[in-house]
Amino acid sequence: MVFSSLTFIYVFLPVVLLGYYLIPSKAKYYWLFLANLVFYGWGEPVYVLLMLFSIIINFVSGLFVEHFSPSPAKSKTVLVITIITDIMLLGYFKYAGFILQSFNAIAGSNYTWKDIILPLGISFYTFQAMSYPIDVYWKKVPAQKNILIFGTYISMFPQLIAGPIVRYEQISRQFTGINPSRSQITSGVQRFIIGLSKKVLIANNVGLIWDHYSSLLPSSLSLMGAWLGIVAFTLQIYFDFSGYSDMAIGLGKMLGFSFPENFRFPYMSDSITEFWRRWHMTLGSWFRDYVYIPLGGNRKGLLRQIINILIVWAITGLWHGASWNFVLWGLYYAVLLIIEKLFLLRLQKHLPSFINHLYALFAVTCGWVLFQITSLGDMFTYLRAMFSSSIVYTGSDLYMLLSNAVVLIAAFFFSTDWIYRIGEKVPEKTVSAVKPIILILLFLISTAFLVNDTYNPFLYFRF
Amino acid sequence: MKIKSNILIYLFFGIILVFLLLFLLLPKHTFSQQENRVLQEKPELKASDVTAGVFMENTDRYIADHFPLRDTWITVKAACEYAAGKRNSNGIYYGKDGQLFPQFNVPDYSKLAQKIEWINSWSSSVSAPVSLCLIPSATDIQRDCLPAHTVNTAEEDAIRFCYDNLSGPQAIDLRPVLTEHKNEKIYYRTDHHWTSYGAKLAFDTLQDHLYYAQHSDTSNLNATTVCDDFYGTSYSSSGYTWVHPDTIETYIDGNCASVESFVAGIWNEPQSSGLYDETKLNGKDKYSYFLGGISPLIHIHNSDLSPSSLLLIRDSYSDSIAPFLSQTYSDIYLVDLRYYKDSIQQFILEHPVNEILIMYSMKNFAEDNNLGLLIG
Repeated sequence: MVFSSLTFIYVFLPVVLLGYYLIPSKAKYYWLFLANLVFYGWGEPVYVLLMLFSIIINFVSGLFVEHFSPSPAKSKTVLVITIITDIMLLGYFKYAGFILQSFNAIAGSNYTWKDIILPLGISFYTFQAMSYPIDVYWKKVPAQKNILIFGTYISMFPQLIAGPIVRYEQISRQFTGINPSRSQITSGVQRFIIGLSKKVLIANNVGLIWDHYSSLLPSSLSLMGAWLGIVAFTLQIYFDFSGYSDMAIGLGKMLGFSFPENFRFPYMSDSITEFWRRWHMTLGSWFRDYVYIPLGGNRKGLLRQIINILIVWAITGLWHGASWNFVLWGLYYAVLLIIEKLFLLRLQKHLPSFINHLYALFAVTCGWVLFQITSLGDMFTYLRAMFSSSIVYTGSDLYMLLSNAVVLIAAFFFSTDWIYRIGEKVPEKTVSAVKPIILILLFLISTAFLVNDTYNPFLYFRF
Repeated sequence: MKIKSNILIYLFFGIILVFLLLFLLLPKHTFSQQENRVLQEKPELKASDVTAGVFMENTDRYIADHFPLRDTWITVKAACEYAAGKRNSNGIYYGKDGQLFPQFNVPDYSKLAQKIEWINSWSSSVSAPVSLCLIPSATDIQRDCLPAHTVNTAEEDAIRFCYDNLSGPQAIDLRPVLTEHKNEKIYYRTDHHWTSYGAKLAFDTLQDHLYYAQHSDTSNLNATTVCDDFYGTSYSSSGYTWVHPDTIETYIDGNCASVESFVAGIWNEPQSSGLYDETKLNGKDKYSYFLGGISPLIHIHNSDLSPSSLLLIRDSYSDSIAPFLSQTYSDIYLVDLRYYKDSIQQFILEHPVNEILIMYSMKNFAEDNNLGLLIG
C-alpha cells in the first residue's frame, strides 16, 4: 500500500489508529504487527512470507549471538552466517539478473534468468534487520526475547518500504509502554500532511516535466529543455523521497514512536560532503557505521581511507539499483568527496558562499543524470545536450516552463528552510491560528489530486 | 483552549471519518455519466484474487471510483492547476475563451504506415471506388486559440503523411475548407466533435469529390437549435466544469430519410430509428442525439433519390454528417469497425455498394487498430 492513496488515508489509517488507540498500551504491538502485515501484503501478497522469513532468521540469530557471547568465535560465526544469508536473499531477489547479465557481457555467454519481481522495500528492511544481530554482537543492545516485538519493529509499516532506516538500538526502548500523547499526535498529523503535500502537489507535478523530457530522444533536446528536465527531476526526487520520509515520521509519531530524521534541506548545501550529511541521512550513517568504520575508516592512513571511500560509494550506488549506472553514480560521488577531502573544502573556505552553493547544486544536478538514465549511451547524449545542444530553446520548452512556473517556484522555495525562518518572525499567536487552516487546506487539495491521479509513482520503491 | 490546541487533530480525523462514512453509506453507481465510463464493481474477497493481488488493485480502484463527491474533487484539482497557470488537464487544453481542445500526441508512424498499407491493398481488391477522408480536429484547425506556446503541427503532419502514402484511393482533404472557416463555430467548445455547421462545410467538399453523390444544395439550409445545454466529453474528462455549455443545431429534417440500426450479429432484424434521437437530449451523452449513438451497422434510406449507395467506414464524427449525406445517396451503410466484426468483403457482395468512403477523425484513425479487419 502507498501512503499517498485514498485506500491508505481514508480506510487503512483510521481503522488502524482507532484500534491502536483503544487497545491497552502493552498489547498495542500485536495490533500493529497485524496492520503491518496487511499493509505489506496489500502490494506484495506472496512476499509477506519472505519478510517473515527475514524476521525469523535475524531474530533467532540475535538470540544465538548473545547466547554465545562468552565465546566470541562462536558468536562471530553465527553473525557471519546471518549476514551472508541476508545478503544472499537480497542478492537473489535484486541482483541475480544483473550479475548474470554482466557475466554474459564479459564472457560473451548467453545464459538467461527468469525475471524476478523485486520485493517491495527489500533493500530497506534487509538493512534494518541486518543491523540488529551486528548491534547485539557489538553489545550495543541486549537481544530481544519477544519475536512479536522484533517482528513489529522490522515490519513497522510507516518506514517499512522506503525508510527512514531505523536501527533496533534507536527504537527498542520505545516499545515498553507505547502511549502517544496528544501533542505527539498533533505534530504527527502536521508532519504527515506536509509530507503528503510535498509528494502529491509538488513531486508528482514536477515529475510530469521530467516525464515529458525523458520520453524525448536525448539527441533532440534543446539546452533549455535538457536543463529544465533534469532540474525538474532534481526537485521531483527530493520532494518524492523526503515527502515519503515526512509521512513516515509523522505516522510514527501518531503511533507513539520517534524515528530518526532523514533529510535536512540537502539542496542548501555548500559542498558534496555537506550534501551527504543532509540527504538520506539514515542510509549514509548506516554505511558509515556498518561498512566504512569496520573497514578502518580514516584511521589507517590516507591511501586506505581513499580506498574505503571508493568501496563504500560503489556499494551505496549499487544499493540504489542493480545497474552499472548506479555504480557510476556512486563512484562519481566518491571522487567528488575525495577531491573535497584532499583540498577543495579548504579552498572553499576562501570562496563566497553563493559560489560554493552553486558548485554543490551543479554537481548534484549532474549526478542525477547518471542516476536516472540507465543506458550509458543516452546518459552521455543527455549530458552533451545540457552543455552543447545547438538548439537554445523551443516553443514547447517555453510552454513547459510557463505552465509549470508556479509549481517550480514553489518547489525551489520549499527546498530551502525559508518558510521556517519566516515562521520565526511571525508572532506565535498568528502561527498557531493560521497553521491548522493551511494544513487542512493542503490536505483537502491533496485529496483532490489523489481522487484524480494519473501519475503517482514512488521513486524509491524500486530500491 | 483545549479545542484550539487540538483543532488540527479534530479536523484531520474528522474529515477522514466523514468521508469514510459517506463512502460506506452512499449508494454506489455502476456508471459515471460525468466521465462516460463503467465504474469498478465491489471486489469479492476470494483467496486466489488476494494472492494474485487482484483483489487489492480492484479495491483501490473501487474506493477511488466511488469516493464521495468525486466530480467535485476533480473540479477542485482542475481549478487549482488552472490557478497555478496550467492550461492542460487530463489531456485537454484550456484554450481561448474557455474552449476545450483535446491534446493530439505524435502518433506511432509505423502503425500509421501499416494502416495506409491495409487501405491501399484492400482498395485494389474491391471493385467500387474508395476514398479516404481524415478529419482534422479543432486542435489542428483552430490552433491559434490554444494556450500560448503550444506549437503543435503533429496532427497536420500525420494527415499529410497518410495522404502522401495513399496509392489507389482518393484522398479528400478537409483542412482547406475548415481552415477558411476557422473563426466560426465549426467545432463544439466542450466536445471533440464538429458541430452540424462544421459537418455541413465538410459535406460540401465531400460531395464535390465523391463519385456517386447526387448534388444537394446546402446554401439555403437554416439551422434549428435543438438543445442549448450540451456538455461534451472534453468538459467531462478535464474537470474544467466552469466553462459554458454548447448548443446543438440541425439543418436537415429528421423525417426525410428512414433509418435502421442493427445489433451486432443479428443482421436480419433491423431496429427502426431516426436521423435524430430526441430521448438522448435528456441524458448526459447528448451527441448521441445524432443517429442514436453507437451501433455496428446503420442503414439510411432516402426513397426520394434515384438509386446510389455509399458504404461509409467511420467513427462517431459521421453521426452528425449523416443527415447531409442522406440528401445525396438513396442508401448509406455506416459501418463501425469497433463493433462490426463480420467480413466487409462479404458485406459488399451482399449489398449494392457503388462507392466506399473511409472517414475517421485523425485522432481516432491513429488510435484505433480495427482497420486491419478490412483485409482480415
